[in-house]
Amino acid sequence: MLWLAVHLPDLPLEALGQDPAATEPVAISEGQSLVRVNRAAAGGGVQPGQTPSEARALLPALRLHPRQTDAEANALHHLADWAYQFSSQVSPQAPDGLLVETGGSQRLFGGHAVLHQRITQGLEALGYSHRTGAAPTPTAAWLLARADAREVITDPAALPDALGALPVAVLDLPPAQHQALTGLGLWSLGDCLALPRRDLARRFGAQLLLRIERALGERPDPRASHSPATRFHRYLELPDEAHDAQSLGFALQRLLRELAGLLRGLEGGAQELALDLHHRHQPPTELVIGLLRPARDPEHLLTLCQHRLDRTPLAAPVTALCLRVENILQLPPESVALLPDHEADTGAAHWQLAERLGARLGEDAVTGLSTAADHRPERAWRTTSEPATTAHPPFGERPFWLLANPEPLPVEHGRPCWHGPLRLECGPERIETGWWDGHDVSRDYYHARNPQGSRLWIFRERRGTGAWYLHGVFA
Amino acid sequence: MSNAVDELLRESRIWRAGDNHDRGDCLPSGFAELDAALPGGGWPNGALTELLHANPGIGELQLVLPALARLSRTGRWIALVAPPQIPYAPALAAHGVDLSRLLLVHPRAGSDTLWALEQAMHSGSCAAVLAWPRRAGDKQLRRLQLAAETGRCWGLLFRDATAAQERSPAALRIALQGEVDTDTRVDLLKVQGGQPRQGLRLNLNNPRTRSLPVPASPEPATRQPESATRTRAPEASSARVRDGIGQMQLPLGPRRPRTLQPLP
Repeated sequence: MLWLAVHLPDLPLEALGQDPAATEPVAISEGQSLVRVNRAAAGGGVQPGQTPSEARALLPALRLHPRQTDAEANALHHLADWAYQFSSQVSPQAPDGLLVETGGSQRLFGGHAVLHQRITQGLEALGYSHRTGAAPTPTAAWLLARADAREVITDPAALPDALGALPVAVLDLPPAQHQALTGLGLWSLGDCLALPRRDLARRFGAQLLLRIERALGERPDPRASHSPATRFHRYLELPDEAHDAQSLGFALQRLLRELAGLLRGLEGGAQELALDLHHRHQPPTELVIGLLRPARDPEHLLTLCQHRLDRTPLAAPVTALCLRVENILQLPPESVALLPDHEADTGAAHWQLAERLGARLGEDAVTGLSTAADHRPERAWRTTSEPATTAHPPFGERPFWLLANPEPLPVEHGRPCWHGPLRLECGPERIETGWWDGHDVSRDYYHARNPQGSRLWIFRERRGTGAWYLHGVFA
Repeated sequence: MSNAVDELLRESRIWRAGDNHDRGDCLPSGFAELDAALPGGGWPNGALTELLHANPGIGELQLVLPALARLSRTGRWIALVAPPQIPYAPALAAHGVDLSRLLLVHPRAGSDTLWALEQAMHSGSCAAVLAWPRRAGDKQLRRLQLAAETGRCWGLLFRDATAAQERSPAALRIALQGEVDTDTRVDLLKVQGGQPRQGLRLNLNNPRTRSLPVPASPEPATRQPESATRTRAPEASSARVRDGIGQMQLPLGPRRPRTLQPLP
């Protein structure tokens, strides 16, 4: 068993979409004291624990936001969903931490160092600043993460020494108990461990002893396992209003990476993404991006969303984004052949191409083609969205190009003309049908050639005027 | 001194007459004369081919349909980007193109057309991409050429005959000219790795099916002698129907059917 603990110290800021490394000073306040400040504010002298008026006196340009614990809990919940792709045992540590059991899956990822690196890189890509620690017991890992020890302890026997070096502040005790410990001269966990256990419990409470024993592995430490959601519903506020589609790219990337983590953990794919753009004074704009096949690659999904956003004019500046995936479909793993075969690999590439073209040009701009069983030439074909294999043998030679509307031809000296008098070559082929739906036709079709050598498909109306029309070109 | 000559010969700007790139990757066109004139024995795969013609309907698509029909059955796709008219599905099916592998793309703006072409050629899932660009500059054509190479795609551009004067990085440029009484004239303006060739005549523009002429007068149709420049194999002839007034005459031999008088 090897547990990786992740401590997210800046979660109050990040849950509201604020970047801890931004240049503007921002602080989060709860009640009458500051809970967390970003680096710019800390540089100006503002510290957690001060009152808002003190802070504003020190730094007039400071922006204060009230703390939103439900946003933080939501962010932590989604982060636990995202971490499900790395391990089947994920346990959120309220209010600002995550415990991931990596011992079971480290072999799949190639060793615990590689797995830990992937997790930390993923957290950076999602925009969370983090401190990590790894140990055989979850409590010990959490203590190491709180102290930012950056150690990986794989041997339970080394735990007492490693934990001994940590200060007692990592235990997160109430201030009175903390003061009592330091008053006795116990500054590090090693000092606590040196005392007899029963006396420690009697003096400071059984809870403290239980925690220490759990950290050392002497008592069992069960953790509730997080079960991932079956839908994805994530609301992200933007730090500043976005006026065009480019500025939404960063936030969209974060949302899609979280979605990709959940989909990978569930071995599923998304076929329909619903993206809501929230505005300040207007109802949200809803966009639906549909895919031809379920997919979970975040880069591909980002390309599709960006193309779709480019096509949509923004009615008002966007203040927040919400990404919803209601159905997570099973995505079977791809089976690759043993020998490289160029032809067989193109299936997925083709669907991605069709999706990309559809996202930028419009869903109805990309179609397939099929024949239909009808003698009337204008109805003998149709566009399809799925590839169709219907075989309807034509009865005569048909032109490659069909005009959408038959073009009337002027008649000179009794011959129809199209850039010159036409010479009839084959025909007539009589098509007389379609009485049942009111679009009946009665025409005689001929092959004709004009003086430049173009071969045309023309017809003559049998009813009414007997006029000549051009219907197709033999290319 | 020999060093200077060697260096000069190694430069890529110099082309030596004995240099024939052996491109193993060629698509047989289905026309023996054309294949004989092309290096590699067929259409260049992974490169652009330009077909220039002043008038529509002279057989420009008949020239490429045999190769397209074969490509549509290999498992990859054929994309038609911004076709000027409706590509008629029964005609394509009759020529052997697998319709389930056809992709029609209708961009709205001109800039979208070039982007769609590049995406389709680059993706590697399209074996052939057909386009009818109205304007294509040298730089844009170079990008398309690069995309076709990356995606191993046969890029076909149908352009107006006036584009013959412009420079183009296409590997093969063909000019087509329709004639009224003879076969279509095919000129190879630029052949990469081979010699340009003028004056090929290919039977591209003749009715394929047996026509059903109604005789204007009750006399039976006279049989015209077979022309010597015919390159297609004669169609399977069926037994001659007994001549008679009102019976259908099937022209078994003549390449050019008898012209008809238009009905009053």
